[in-house]
Amino acid sequence: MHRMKALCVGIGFLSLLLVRGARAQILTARTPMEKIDITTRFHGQDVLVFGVAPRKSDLIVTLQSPPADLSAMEKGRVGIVWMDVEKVRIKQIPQVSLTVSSKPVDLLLDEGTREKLGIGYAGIARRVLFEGNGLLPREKITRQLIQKREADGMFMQRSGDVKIYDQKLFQTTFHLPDDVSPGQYIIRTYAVRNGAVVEQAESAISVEKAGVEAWVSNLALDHEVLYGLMAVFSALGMGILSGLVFRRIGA
Amino acid sequence: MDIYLPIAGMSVNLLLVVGLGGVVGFLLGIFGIGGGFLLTPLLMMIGVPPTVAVATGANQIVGASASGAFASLSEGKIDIRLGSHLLIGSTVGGFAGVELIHLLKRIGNVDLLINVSYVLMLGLTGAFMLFASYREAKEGPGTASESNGGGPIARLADRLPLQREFPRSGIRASLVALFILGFVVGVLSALMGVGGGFLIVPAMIYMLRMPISVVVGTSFFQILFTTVIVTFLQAMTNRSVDIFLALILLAGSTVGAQLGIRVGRRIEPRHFKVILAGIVLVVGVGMMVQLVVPPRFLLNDGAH
Repeated sequence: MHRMKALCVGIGFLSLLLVRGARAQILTARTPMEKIDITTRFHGQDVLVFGVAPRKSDLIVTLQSPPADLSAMEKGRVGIVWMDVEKVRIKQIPQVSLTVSSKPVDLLLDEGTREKLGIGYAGIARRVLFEGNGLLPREKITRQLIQKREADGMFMQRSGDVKIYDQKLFQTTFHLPDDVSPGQYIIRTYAVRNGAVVEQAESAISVEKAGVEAWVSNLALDHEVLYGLMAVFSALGMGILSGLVFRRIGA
Repeated sequence: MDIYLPIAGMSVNLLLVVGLGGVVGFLLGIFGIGGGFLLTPLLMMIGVPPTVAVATGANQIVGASASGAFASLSEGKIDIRLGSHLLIGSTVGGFAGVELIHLLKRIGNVDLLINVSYVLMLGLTGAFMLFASYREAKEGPGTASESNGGGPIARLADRLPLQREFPRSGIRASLVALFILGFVVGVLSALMGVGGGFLIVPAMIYMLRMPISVVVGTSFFQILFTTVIVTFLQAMTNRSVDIFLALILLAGSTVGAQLGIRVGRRIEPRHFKVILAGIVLVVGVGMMVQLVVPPRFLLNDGAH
């Protein structure tokens, strides 16, 4: 009964998408989840985005965490040792920035437009602020940041990963790595034709710690005395208990 | 099977972490010391942020030393008076170390501090242990107890003021010397996530000249309470203690320790010092390589 109902809702939803998309040529993008729970079993999450695109348009889909100012350190060699040497600030940069497109983004939109819309890596270099003299030029710092985040799976900019069927239905999948921070993640879909965005859609996914993970994190951050005592006594208890168990086994 | 660590903010393989705990416990079981200094580098190797690795390492040692400390207490093998005097120093030292980490987390180079502490401490300890066992092999056993009469450090400690009697150990020791020793162990515990056994045990034997019968129990007492204090301070100041990680490691290390104790009985003590010195030096050199090899990325964005 429930399954029938779900199926009907699914079909209804899909036909609504198709009808709306076909009739008005508007962009519709959906993701099946509104919330990602970081539970004890969390080890990253695939995020599916699908929808209907205006005919004969190209697509850019982005998934980003909320932008925030980042305080980073440039590494340099002092004597024989590599260490953090110069402080660099990068204004309003998301921790996670994943971009997929049906063609390479630089062929679809010019850099100015991409920077204005916050698509991909455009304009990061302009947001690099030096507190001291800086060791590397802006562009190199930006490249280092992008390469590091790409290696961590936090940044990605790739073309061809959006599948478009019948020139209007589309689908793509992002992967969020296991060490993402909680927050409100935004998915933006752009339909592009002749170097301009013709349609734009936006949806949000909130990434939250849940259950025991949320409880432990909150305790550690907001009730640090209690958490400290808990850490000490749980280890003490486990140590003493296992000592007793092994002594019994030994005897 | 994966489990998400709430404070480290990452997912790890449960069996891998239990295995790491097991390896560390195994060595602890064989040698009686050396759990912590191996654990922290191993945790950093699987991607745990350095500050979380040191704080959680201390937390793990609380559990690993608890059973030994209570057994020694019930057998009356602890010089509680002397241990308490050491603890005054380790509390102050632990506080200083935790605050130093807190400061460097803001201004940079906290990883460097942890790495350098490792290279210096392990390099010195490993070299000292190798040298001692080389001398013992050359001049025959027993020289260590002869030199017990007075190395330069022991003679210096004898001249420090505030000498007090410690009847349980039957020694006289300077409160200043005890404070300094405790302080150093406290700082190292906070910076390296260790209990400090590799330092406190030789210091009790060679510097304070305590009888072996109370050295083991008193060092357990000292290690337990130092790591209790450091764990608490890290949780208070740096919020970097991961309870999940500590308890999983502990589950592995208690089992590993039992195996280690059984294997340890079959190894000849002479070999055992050389093996331990070798492990210490290998870890020290490994940390040094990380310091001098050019990093993969020239930007530290705070992520691990």
